[in-house]
Amino acid sequence: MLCQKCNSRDAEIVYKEFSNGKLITMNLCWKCAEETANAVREIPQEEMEPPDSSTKCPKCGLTLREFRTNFQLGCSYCYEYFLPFFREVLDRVIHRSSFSGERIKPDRFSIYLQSEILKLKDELQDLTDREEFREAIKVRDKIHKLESILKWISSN
Amino acid sequence: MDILKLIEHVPDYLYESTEDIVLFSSVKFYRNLEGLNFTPKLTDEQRKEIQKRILEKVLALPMWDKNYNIIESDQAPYELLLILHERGIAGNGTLEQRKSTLLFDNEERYVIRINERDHLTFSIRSSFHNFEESAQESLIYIGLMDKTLGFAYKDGLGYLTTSPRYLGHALNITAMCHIPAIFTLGQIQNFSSILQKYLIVLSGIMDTSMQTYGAFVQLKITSFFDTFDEVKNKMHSAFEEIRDLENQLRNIIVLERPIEVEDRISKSYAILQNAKLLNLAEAFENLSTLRLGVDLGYVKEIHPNFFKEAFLRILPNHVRVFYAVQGDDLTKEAEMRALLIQELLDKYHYAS
Ligand SMILES: [Zn+2]
Ligand SMILES: [Zn+2]
Repeated sequence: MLCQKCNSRDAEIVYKEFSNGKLITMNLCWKCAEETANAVREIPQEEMEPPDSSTKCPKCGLTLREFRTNFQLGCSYCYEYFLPFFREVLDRVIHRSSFSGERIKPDRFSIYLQSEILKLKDELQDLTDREEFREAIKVRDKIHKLESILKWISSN
Repeated sequence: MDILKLIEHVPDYLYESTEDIVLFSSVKFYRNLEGLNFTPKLTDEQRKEIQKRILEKVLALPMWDKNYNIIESDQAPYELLLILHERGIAGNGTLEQRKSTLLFDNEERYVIRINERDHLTFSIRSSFHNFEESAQESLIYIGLMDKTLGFAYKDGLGYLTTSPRYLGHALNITAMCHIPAIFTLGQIQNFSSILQKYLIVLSGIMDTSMQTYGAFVQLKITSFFDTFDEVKNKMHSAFEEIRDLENQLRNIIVLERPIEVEDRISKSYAILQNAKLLNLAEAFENLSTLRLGVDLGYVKEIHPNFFKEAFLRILPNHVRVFYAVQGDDLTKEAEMRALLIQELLDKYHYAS
C-alpha cells in the first residue's frame, strides 16, 4: 500500500493525530510522518535542520542528512545521538512512550514445550484409541520434533 | 539451484492451509549484532565477518533437515533473485544492493536474510492454524540466538534496528487474507475501522512493493515498542473480527443468493477458462471471485488446491522466467499467464 500523503513510497506506519477531538489515523511512509509531525509542532524548518546538518554520530559517522534521506541509522549509538530528531514521530506512531518489555529469553519456552508435549501425548493416545492412525503419525512426528528442540535447548 | 523446479513448487505453508480466509501467516524478527555498525555503515570485511558469525549459529539450530539453500545474492543470477523476491524470500534490499545472504529450507518456511537491512532478519511462515506453534518456535530460536550472538538492545527502546520503525521486540506479524465478501458487498468501511483500531497496515500480494489485487490483502502489524505477545494478541483479535465480518457477509450471500454475486462468479470462471490474455490484476481479480464461488459451493468441480498453486505461479517474474518471455513483452506475459491458468484449471478439475 502506498503512503497516503506522497503516494510514492510504501506506507510503513500508522500515524495518529487528534483533529477536532477525533482520532484520525493515516498510513504514511516515515518521511511524510516526520514532516507531518514537525508541521503539527510548528517547528521552524531551521530548527529541525540545524545549520550544522553535517552533525555526525561520533561512533559511525552517520550524518543527520544521511539519516533523513532513508531513515536508517548507522549504529546503536545513533539511537542516543539522533533520538531527539525523531522522538516526535515515535510519539505519533506508537501508543506508548517507551518499551517496557524485556529481552526474549529462551528458557521460559522449555516450560511451554514440556506442557505442549504432554498435551500432544494425550492427543496421541486418544487418536490411537480411536484407530485414527494417519492423524496419530502426524502427532507423533510433532512430539518428536518438539522433544528434539527441548533436548537441543538443554544441551546449549 | 533449479529455478524451474522452484517456480513449480507449492510450499507447505500455502499447501497445508485448511481455511478460506487466512491463506498463510508469518512472523519476522529484525536483529543486529551488538557492538558492530548497522548495514549502512559496514565495510565489506565486517559484512563477511557478520555473515560468518550468523550463519554458523543459525545452521546449528535444529530445524534444518539437511535440506536448505544458501544464496549469496552477489553471485546468484538476477532472475533467481527476482523469483525469490516474489516468493518473499529476498526483500527489496537484496534486489537493490545484492549484498545479502539468503538461507531457507525447501518448504520456504524458515527464511533468513543476513545483511539485508539489518544484520539478521529471521522469519517463519506457516498456515494460520499452525500459527501459534510457529510463533512459539520462532521465539525459541530468536531467544537462543540472542544468547549466543548477542543482539543490540537498549532498555526502554528494545532491540535496536537499522530503521527506527521496529524497536520493542522488533518484529512484524503478517497474514495474507482473502476477504471477497467484504469487498464484493462493499463493506470496506467496517473493514477499515478494524484496521484502524489495531493499527494494521495493508500491503500487497507477497511483498510491500506490490499492489493489492482482487480481495487478496496482506495485513501487517509492526511491534513499535510492543512486546511479541502484545503484537500477537492484537493480530489474533483483529483476525477474529475480520473473519467474523467476512463470514457474516458470506452467510448473507448464501442465504439471499444475490443474482449479482452468482453472475460475477460465473463470469470470472468463464474469463479464466477462455481468456487469451490475462494481466496480473485481471488474473487475481477473477481468481478471487472464482475462489469465493468455490468456497460457497457455487462452483463444485475445482479443487481448492488450484488456488494455492496459482497464487505464486501467476506472479509476473514467475511467468516470465518459466516461459522465457523476452524483454518487457507484457502481451506475451499475459498470454502465458492465461495459458498457465487454463492448464491449472484442467489439472485441478474433479473428474465428475
Ligand atoms: Zn509518503
Ligand atoms: Zn552511529
